[in-house]
Amino acid sequence: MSEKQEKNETLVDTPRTIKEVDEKDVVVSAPSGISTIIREFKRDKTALVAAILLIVIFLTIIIWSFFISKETVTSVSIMDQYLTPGTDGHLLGTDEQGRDIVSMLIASARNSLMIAFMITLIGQFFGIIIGTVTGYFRGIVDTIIMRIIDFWTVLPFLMIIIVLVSIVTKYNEWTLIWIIGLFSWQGTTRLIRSKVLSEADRDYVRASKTSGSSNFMIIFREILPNLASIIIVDSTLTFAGNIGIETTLSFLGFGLPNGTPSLGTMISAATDPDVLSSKPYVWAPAALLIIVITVGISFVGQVLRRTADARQRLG
Amino acid sequence: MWKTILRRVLIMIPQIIILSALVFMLAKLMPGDPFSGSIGPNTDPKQVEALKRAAGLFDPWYTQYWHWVQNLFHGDLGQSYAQKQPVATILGNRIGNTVWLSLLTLIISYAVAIPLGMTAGRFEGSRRDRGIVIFNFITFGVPSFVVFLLGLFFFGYQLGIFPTAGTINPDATGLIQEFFSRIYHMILPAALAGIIGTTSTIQYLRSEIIDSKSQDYVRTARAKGVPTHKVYSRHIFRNSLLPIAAFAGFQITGLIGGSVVVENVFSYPGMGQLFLTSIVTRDYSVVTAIVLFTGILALLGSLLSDIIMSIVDPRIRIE
Repeated sequence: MSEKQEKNETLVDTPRTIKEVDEKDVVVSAPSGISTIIREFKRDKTALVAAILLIVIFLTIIIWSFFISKETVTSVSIMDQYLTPGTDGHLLGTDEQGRDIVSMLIASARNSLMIAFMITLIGQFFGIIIGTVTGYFRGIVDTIIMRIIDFWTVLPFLMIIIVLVSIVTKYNEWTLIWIIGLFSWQGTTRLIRSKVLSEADRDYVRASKTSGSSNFMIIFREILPNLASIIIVDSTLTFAGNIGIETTLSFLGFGLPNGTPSLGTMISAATDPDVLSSKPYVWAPAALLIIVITVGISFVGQVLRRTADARQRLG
Repeated sequence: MWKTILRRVLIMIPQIIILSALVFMLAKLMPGDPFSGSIGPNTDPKQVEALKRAAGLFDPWYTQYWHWVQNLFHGDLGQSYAQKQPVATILGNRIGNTVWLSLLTLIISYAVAIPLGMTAGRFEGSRRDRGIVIFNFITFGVPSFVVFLLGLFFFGYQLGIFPTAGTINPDATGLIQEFFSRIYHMILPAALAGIIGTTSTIQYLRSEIIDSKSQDYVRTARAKGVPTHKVYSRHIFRNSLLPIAAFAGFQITGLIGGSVVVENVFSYPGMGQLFLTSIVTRDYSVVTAIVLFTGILALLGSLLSDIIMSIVDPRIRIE
């Protein structure tokens, strides 16, 4: 940022109306993050329902998946192919290979959620590190990295991931996680960088610098804690996005390797016109689960965004 | 302004060079070579080696890259071994389908997003606004392939009002019939992809309108006695429209990338579908050409967006 712009910002900042000052004070004296979150959820009933539903779904998936052995999920029994829901104790029926849809659904959902979670972890890790470093130190490295990110975001990344997945020889779920993870830090980097840029100009950072704190201390003990809420919001929304990316790839046949059930592979059964049109019980439960999870997460993410940004709060 | 545009165009050059190097690298990483298809078990290994040497496969990478780039400039994208045809011909047959589908998707997307975004921004906080915001969450969160499948299931199979595959009815004769048959085949995928693509436009338009509400020019117009609906339809809408037009470049980029999914679900023979079948058949010369082509298209899209934005909004011009 040039000196001129900096001056402009201070100019704009100085003449505050009383109302604005009040609002700022309220933010400072707001008791704690958690109580604000609870308050916001109480005000937004749809999001509250979504949050409860998500917790129930996640807990069910995690607990239930302990009771499903890998054999029951992957074992093929052609005799039981395409049983309709309710027959022979198969609550939701069976698929093409005679596997129980309910067990498949639980195992798939666990895998899809776990993988999306790992991808989010990798993406956030690199995004936060690169974002804070470039935003804090600026200079030539910042310029170069930002140009790379500009270029990167434009590229047709779904295609490139598919190419990479198809040319990697030894291939398992970790390969997939790393390939997608390395393609998904750019958005976070940009967000964190812009926040760090504005944060680094604040008085508390300047004061800390004057009193001799090291850059490392300032970044990790002072700036990053202030960005915690933004990071949580961003992670939540990217998590939903990553579920979408993994399931899309698995649906197209370039995601999880065969034998590792995913919600995407379950739905890919529907590429057979006969299954799509006359056996919806094979693919519809997985489709429905994806919709509920991803929409639920974006509702919750929106509430978190409001708690992170005082101006957007409902009350 | 011209300076900005010139600079932006100049940035394209290193970008295209990096892209081509990247694609070349991917091509080299791909297993096999252009002859794998034509080599039978009885082919003499020495002959194969001679063929490979003649094709320059033993040259250092920079020589190979240079040959590759030279060929590109001559429009030679290589030979597809699966289809025994020049890649350029195969691509030429498919590009049209993808471009038409993307165009229709874009039109539908704006036709849905503009009124919704306007309404949400104008009646901020109302029931209508909340409904639109919820609609936005759904289009943001749900992966597109789920929406396409559900659409195909309900409208294609259950209700049977739309075709479930292809681009044209083989019975269609004559230009007009052909045209309508094409549109008819595109309408369902384009509508679904268009609706999913509304998220960013609605969000952008909504916040733009909420911002403009308190601008001086709006206050002036109101003070002069311009009726509310005119303030929105003329003053605010016009000011919000141009930045949205600028986003069209990025939208096109997204659409062509997304064609992989939509064309796969609707068995629509465009580039996205060609891409997937070529990956499956290991027809890598076609894959490379498609990645390169979409990459260049994407760069052009972002160039277009940047140029429009620099014309519309003087603040973002590069100094």
